[in-house]
Amino acid sequence: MPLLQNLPVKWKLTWFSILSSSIALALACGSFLVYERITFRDAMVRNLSTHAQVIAFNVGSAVLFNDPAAATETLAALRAEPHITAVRVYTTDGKLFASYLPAGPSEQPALLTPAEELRGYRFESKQLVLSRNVIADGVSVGKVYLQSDLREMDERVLRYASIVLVVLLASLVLGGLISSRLQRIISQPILDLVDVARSISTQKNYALRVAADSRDELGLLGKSFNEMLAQIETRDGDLHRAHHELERRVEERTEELRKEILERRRLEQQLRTKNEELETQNRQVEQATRLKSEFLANMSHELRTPLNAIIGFSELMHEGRVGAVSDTQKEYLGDILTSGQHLLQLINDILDLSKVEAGKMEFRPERVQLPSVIGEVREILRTLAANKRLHISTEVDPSVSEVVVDAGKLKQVLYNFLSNALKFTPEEGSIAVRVVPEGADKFCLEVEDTGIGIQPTDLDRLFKEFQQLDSTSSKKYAGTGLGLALTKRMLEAQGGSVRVRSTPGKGSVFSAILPRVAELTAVPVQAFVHSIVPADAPLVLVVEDEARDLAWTTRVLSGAGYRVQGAVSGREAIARIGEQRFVAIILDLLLPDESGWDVLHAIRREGLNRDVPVIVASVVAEKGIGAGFAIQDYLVKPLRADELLATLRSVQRQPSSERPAILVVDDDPKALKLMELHLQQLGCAVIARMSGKSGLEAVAEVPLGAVVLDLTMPEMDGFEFLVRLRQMDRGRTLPVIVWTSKDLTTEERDRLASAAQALILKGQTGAQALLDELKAHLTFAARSAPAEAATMKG
Amino acid sequence: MASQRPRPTLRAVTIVCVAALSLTLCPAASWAQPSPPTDTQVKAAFLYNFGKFVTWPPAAERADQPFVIGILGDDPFGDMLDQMVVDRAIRGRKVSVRRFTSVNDATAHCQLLFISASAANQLPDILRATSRASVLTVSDAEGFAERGGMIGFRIEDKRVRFDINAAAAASSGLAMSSQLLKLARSVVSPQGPRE
Repeated sequence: MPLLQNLPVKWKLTWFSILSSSIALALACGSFLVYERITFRDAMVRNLSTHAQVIAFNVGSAVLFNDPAAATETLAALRAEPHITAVRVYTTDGKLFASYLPAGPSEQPALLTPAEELRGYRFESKQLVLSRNVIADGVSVGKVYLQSDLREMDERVLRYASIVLVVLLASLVLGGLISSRLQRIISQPILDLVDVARSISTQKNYALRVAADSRDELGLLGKSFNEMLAQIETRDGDLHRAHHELERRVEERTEELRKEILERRRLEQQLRTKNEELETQNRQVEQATRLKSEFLANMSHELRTPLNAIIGFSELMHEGRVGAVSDTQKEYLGDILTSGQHLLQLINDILDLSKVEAGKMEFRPERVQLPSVIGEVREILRTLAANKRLHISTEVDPSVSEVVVDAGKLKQVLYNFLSNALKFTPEEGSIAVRVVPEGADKFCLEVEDTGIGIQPTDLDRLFKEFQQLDSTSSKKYAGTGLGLALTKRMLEAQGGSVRVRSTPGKGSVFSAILPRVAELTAVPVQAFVHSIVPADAPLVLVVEDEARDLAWTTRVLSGAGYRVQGAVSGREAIARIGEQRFVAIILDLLLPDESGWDVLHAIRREGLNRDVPVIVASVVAEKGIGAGFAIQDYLVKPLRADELLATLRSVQRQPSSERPAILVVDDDPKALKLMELHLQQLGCAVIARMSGKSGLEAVAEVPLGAVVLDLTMPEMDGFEFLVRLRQMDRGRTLPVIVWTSKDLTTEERDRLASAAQALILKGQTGAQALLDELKAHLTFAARSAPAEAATMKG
Repeated sequence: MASQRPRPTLRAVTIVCVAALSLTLCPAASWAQPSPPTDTQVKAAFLYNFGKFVTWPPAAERADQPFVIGILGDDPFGDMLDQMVVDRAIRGRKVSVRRFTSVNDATAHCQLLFISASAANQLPDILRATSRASVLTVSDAEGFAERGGMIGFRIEDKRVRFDINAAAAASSGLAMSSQLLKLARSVVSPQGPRE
């Protein structure tokens, strides 16, 4: 019961002891009471029995002798017993014989049952009924019934009970008092414990202890409690110490960290300053490199420009174009020419080398047919080889006959190797050029000669700049000493390598190894726009079913400034002629669906293009067939560009006999003069200007056919000129050929490619390339030099 | 013993039941009689009962022999007494009834002698004879007790009473129980008559 549970220990103990003692007492008293009652009853019964016995004995004769009076007298003797309320004597037949009723008349009691007969009495609620046999001479002659009230017993019981109660109460009170005093023995230690525990938990003072002297469980509890407290105290102490220790360590650590952080910051600061210094240095280095590159670029230009003049003029004169020259003059001019070319080569090599060193060399890989490349280089050195009667053989493994590589650089390498071989191989020797696969992804270009060979000790000096093997031999074997160094660098820059094997006196093998497919990391080179075809250019219909032929014709015509519409079948052609008007129609006879003649009929029947000139191009060589038909001219395939263009021009109504002038813009007067001479060979009028500004003025004033433009000019350079030129009406579609000695970056090339039609470098291949280019752009045939036939590719 | 007049069955049954009840209550043959007992019957009963309250001298007490009640003179009881003493005992001895004609015979063979009134004129002789033996003398003759008889019947208030001559009994060596003495009408003690 919660009520009981929540009582204080003191009251619990007291009440429990009271309760238990009272229960004990009650039990004891109760049992005593019961015992008393039983005993008393027994006593009463015995007492009454005795009386009954006596009466029974004494009354026997009276019964026998039928003397009720005498019986009654005998019975009356029981007067002395106050608690006997009635005595009756019955005869054996159950009849009342005599009675003595001191308490007055009363009901006759019920006769005892046989079971009760055994005992001889019966306790009723208010009386005891006892019966005895009246025996005379061993024979029962009747019964005597005594009735006694239970007053005495009740009184006794009551007395007893009240005594018990009093005793009980007294003992309870006494017991309560005593136990309430004595409970302290138990509860006090507990309360002390409680107090101590409470004060410990509030004050956190673990030094407190409980008094634990007694040897009983409470004492044990107290001792254990104390032990526990002692442990807690020590633990607490340890904890505090540990805590302090921890704090101390934390502080130490924090201090350390702080120092570390400061140190770090300082280092960071140092690093930053260092960084800044490095950046500055970097910038300076970059600056230096840039300056160096610029210097080189400028220098190369500066060097090439006068060389251009030397080479150009000497060439012209050497070839007798500016008048007759004597043999000696020719010879000397030839010397000047070769020296100039040699010098140019040197300059180019130095520039290349520095570019490669600076990592600024750009490679433009393209699909290359090795046999043709080798052939070209051999062609260049043909004379030299022939002079020494050297036999050159070429052997190309078919698996590597086509590679993707920078053609120009490869030619340079091969030229280097081959020229060295030619140089160092005595007369009547042989040189072999080989291309073999190298590994799975590389190829090896080898040049083997039967020359003087190289000493093993000299092998590593080979590829160093300016190291020629024999300084004295420099006289015999002309060379710059740059070639191999440059070759090595160039090959390595492309992911390849160079090898040399040599047996002194027998010969040498120089090998260049390159990847078969170079990384096409270079920005795709913008092809030069061959020509800018204005929207109002004359429109020509080309009816041609062969795609290749159609493409060629289209190219040629566009290059000449025509707009081209193509048709690959007769039906398409007929459709086209119904759409718009052409200035001319070039018609192939052999068409898939209809014959060219039928198309011709259709053209002549049609309204729009009825009278447009038609030039028939056909494989059929019978010119006569077409004569009867309304055609202007009949050309036989394979077509020639100049023939085609000329025919086209001739069938056009507008005369184009005018020879437009060509503007040459260059700040170098010598170069200007050179170009003038060259162009005059072509029969063109030349307008020479020395500045971009005056060049633009010329464009505005005079109708021009093309422009030859130098790039490096003061005030307005070639790039700016181009931009301004294209902004002008007249200059928008003007073909421009850039003619420069400036080494261009890819970016510059791209800028030019979008604005100019071609780029020629001064000095290298002479003016021929320039002139060819010009011819392609001009709408007239060259007068003096026979135009090289641009053949249809088969 | 009781003469039962023939009655209807119910009553007979009731009587039988009562009789059975009486029988269960009293092991001995019941005294339940429909009519009050006659004086003679009472006397017979008294006669038998006297034996219970008197003590004979040891010589006369012979357990193996039956207690004899003798009748001298006319027998007023008929077979009343005989029937009464059947299966009864006095002092643990079987009881038998004998009739005697001579007193000497009687005194030799019985312990209790009833002298009938017819033999009253021979009383002194009888008494003289019996005084020598331990015999309880009972009679219903007039003034039996004064004349020296031990117990004399009297009729008083229509009830049978008796007088006891304790001296006579004492001189014969018989002891009378106080209980008996108590019930007597008058007791002649050895010291003298006493009411």
